Amino acid sequence: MIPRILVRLEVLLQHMEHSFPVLFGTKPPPSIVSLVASNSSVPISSNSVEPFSLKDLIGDGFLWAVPRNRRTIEKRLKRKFGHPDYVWKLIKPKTTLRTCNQCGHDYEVGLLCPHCYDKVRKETELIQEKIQKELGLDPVDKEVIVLYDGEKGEKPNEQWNGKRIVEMQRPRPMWFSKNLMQKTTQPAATTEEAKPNELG
Amino acid sequence: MNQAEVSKLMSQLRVSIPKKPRRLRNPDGPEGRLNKLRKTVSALVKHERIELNSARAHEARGYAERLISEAIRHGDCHKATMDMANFWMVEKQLVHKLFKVLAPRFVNCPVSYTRMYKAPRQYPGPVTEIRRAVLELRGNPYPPVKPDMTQNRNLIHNVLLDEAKKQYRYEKYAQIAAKLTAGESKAEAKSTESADGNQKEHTATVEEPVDTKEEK
Amino acid sequence: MNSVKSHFLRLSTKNNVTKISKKFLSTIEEQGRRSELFSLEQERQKQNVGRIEKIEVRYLGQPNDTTLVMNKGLSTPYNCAQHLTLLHCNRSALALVDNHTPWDMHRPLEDSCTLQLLHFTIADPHLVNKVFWRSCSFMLGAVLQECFKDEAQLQLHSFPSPSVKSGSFVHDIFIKEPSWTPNKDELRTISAEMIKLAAKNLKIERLDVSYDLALEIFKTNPYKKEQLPFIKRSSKAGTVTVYRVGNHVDISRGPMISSTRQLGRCTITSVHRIASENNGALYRVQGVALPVGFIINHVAYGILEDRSKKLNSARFPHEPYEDAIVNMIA
Repeated sequence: MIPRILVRLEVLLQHMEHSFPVLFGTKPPPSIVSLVASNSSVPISSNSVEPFSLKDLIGDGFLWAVPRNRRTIEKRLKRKFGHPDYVWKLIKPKTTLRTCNQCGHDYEVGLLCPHCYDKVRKETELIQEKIQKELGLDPVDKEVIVLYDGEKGEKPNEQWNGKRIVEMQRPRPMWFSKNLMQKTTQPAATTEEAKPNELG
Repeated sequence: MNQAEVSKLMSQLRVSIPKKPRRLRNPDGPEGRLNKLRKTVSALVKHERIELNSARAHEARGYAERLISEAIRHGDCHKATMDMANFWMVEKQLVHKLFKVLAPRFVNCPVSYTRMYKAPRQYPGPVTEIRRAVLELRGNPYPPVKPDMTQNRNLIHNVLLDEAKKQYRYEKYAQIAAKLTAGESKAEAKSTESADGNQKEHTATVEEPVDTKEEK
Repeated sequence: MNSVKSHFLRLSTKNNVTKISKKFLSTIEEQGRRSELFSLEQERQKQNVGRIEKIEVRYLGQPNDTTLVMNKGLSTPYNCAQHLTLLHCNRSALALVDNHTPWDMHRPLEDSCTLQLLHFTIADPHLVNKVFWRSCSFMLGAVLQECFKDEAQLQLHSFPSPSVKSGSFVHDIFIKEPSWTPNKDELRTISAEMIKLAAKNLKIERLDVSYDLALEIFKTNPYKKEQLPFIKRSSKAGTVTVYRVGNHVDISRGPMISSTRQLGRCTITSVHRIASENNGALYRVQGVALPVGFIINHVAYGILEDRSKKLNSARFPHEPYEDAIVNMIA
């Protein structure tokens, strides 16, 4: 009990000590730190208090106009990152990329696969060049059929009747199937004999 | 009034044509635009597959479709059509191709005569990149641009559909055969009035479908 | 070996395996028991591999041919696909070892070999189609096992060798209900369960187990117990091949697809009663399915559904001659 009362009394005394100079306009006594400092080196020029003036800061110079208000956080963020609906400055992830089922390269949805199309384009250009060389300036009155190496002898000449044959002097590319163009009424091959027995 | 004939007065195209023509920019104005389109349509008929700017391809596509459909409808003895072909084909040997090759090729074509694909873009390309397109005539001799899934009859859905079709036909044949045999047996029954005509009919219906299958 | 022993110890303390013969188990508990046995055997076989040797797997196909150095007896074709791309992992349904042997995606490779990964849209998908059809039958079994209440006393009988051309995949079951004709809602529920199973993306695992273990696994199923001796006789090593999806374990000759996710559209269309058995009957459940990514017109799919309703004439389970049994279990 007694020590607590003593502590409270001490605190009260301290408060009074601090509030005296404020109430009666006397200067507060120098703190301990300043005492140490004064002991060591420069004495404090305590009496000479001058009113603050801008001129002290500026001297001979002059002041520019400066922003009077702080920019809001929204505006600062918008300046930095843009707006997602209008101008968005960061990198956006592209969600329209897919992997081609044929070649495994990436392509954009709705567009042709660059790798597959490149292959087709090169072959097409070769064929087109060859056809134009063969036909020249003659009037075109027959369908054109493109055959690769060793394909002309496969069928009798009557099959190509009424069609103009353009031969490419190279083997047929693996990916360009011969059967795609030919319509047939024959039934699909019965694969029963080729069935592996292990499967059951 | 014969209302059914009205639809035959116009070429029916299988591609959608925009209401207003595209304003393709050209230093020579509308005339220059037409000249450019003439060149494009001629190139399409000549090469059967071309790669060009998407907008011009789409614009030229409509003209090419209309031209082929006119050629199919009127043939080469129709003066207006011939004039039109003469206008659109810059190289005159292509007029022959239009009437002698393309018209017979597309006579029974139930879908559009041309196809258009979006060509792949360059990465990383400019933001204001001009989109390219591939325009081609159907039935061309070149390798297909897109893999054709319908051709491979070994894919599982094609196998299932083919078998369903086979079974449907088989059932139809069986029905027809049953009807025929029923008719025959009735006639038989009338002529001979035998008691065991029913049994004969039964056996006949069982055997008949097998025969039809073999004939197929 | 020690860890296997400790496993058994743990199980016996839990009374999970040891007391099974003494009490009646519900379907879920029974499935859990089978799955547990499967896991233990799998773990044991993995530890039997011992010192890990390296094998060279020559991969042939897209994007380019490569040689992969893998672990003998541990690495599966799926692991090889993981070295390639995500696309390969997701779409590959079956692996082809040395150009002729079909190999499950989750079956460890046993020696240096060439490897091809097959999917549903290759030029000649005959093999993959068959494997897909078999997996559908297997998954149907897994679904049926969970759909029925314990009172129905469902016992899976078997499923015949798959034939895509027949138009429907099949699973034969026994229910203690002499004449059950499912209504539309019941069929739709089973179909929905199939789709749910597909969405779970469970991998289908394969294991060759000894005859005794197979007997232990399937001791509560009288039909499987009957079939096991024939299967043992027909296989060269005297082992039985079992497959697991989720908790469901079944006998099958295999191979199967890699994951249940590869099942796309699926409908269970009909249930036919094929024979009566003690206080119940054998039923043939039929359905039709397409792999994921195959989109066909709903009218066309309707035609396929209609066709699959007809009774599939594949080998019936109650047919008398015994040679049939070996062929019966696909």
